[in-house]
Amino acid sequence: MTTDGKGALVDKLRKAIRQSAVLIALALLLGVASQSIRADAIPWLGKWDTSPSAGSSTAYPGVSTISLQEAWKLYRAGKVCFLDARDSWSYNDGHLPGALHIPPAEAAKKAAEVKALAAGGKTLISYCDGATCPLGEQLASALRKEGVVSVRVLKNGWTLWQETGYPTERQKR
Amino acid sequence: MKLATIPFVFRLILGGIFLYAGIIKVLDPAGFALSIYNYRLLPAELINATAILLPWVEMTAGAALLLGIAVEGGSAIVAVLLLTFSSALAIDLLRGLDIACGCFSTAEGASIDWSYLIRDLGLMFMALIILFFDRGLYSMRLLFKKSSAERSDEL
Repeated sequence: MTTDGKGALVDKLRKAIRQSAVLIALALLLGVASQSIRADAIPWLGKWDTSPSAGSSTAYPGVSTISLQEAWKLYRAGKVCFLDARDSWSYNDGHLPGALHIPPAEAAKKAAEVKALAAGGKTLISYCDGATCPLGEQLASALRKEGVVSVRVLKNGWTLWQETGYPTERQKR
Repeated sequence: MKLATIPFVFRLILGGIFLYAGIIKVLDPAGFALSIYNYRLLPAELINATAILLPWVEMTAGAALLLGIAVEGGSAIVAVLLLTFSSALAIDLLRGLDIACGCFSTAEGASIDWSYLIRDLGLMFMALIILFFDRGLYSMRLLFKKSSAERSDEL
């Protein structure tokens, strides 16, 4: 690039930055103004729960999530074992096909069984119900401490699975 | 098609897209805030403020591109926004989050996949073409220039 070409490029970028600043200032002004006149305005500070209990996977080091589509694919291929982290009443009332019932507190007790499944080539997927339920992550995290590092979390698993119309199971009584 | 018309066509496309996307989000700030929350990338304190202000930035930049005023600034903003959106999409795709895009709708919709990232990068390429190659075809700024030139002739 010639010196002139470089100079023109620098001028263009300077102009872009200057104009961007003006446009953004205008946008912010309009945004603030709209807030003060609209009836359905939301507060500037929302009460969003981004704490670990909200189930943000980043709050549990090493714990990763899995999408519904991927979980379904693995299930169809017969390569999955679901781990239901909910209470026993919910589990008995209905759970994902073949799911083992392991509340986070029982992770240590069931670790050996789960480890054998993972060694047999199954992908372990823990789940709970509701976008804010942390039990799926807690179970994955607890199993991780017991040496089972490959558990992935299907967020809001029960509702997502069921509402998509995928098959479920009830506990035989 | 003349080469100079390509940045002009890109201006119309991107300007229209950003104006539309901004309007949709301005109409439903609560829905857009939920979309941002689902990405799980911003701290809680910034979610609502972003949901309130970002659509206005999109609309202003979109309008600038459509009208041909402050085209360098408008295209630079659009390029930076698309780079930000692409990064957010890439991070959440790698994390395996099953979320709606929230790009042109604030309602729960189809889950994000890699095609969304490719689309955003394609749009970003268009923004950069505008930034570096737009010659001001059918721009309001040409009207301003012309009228000021006419005025200086009269003086």
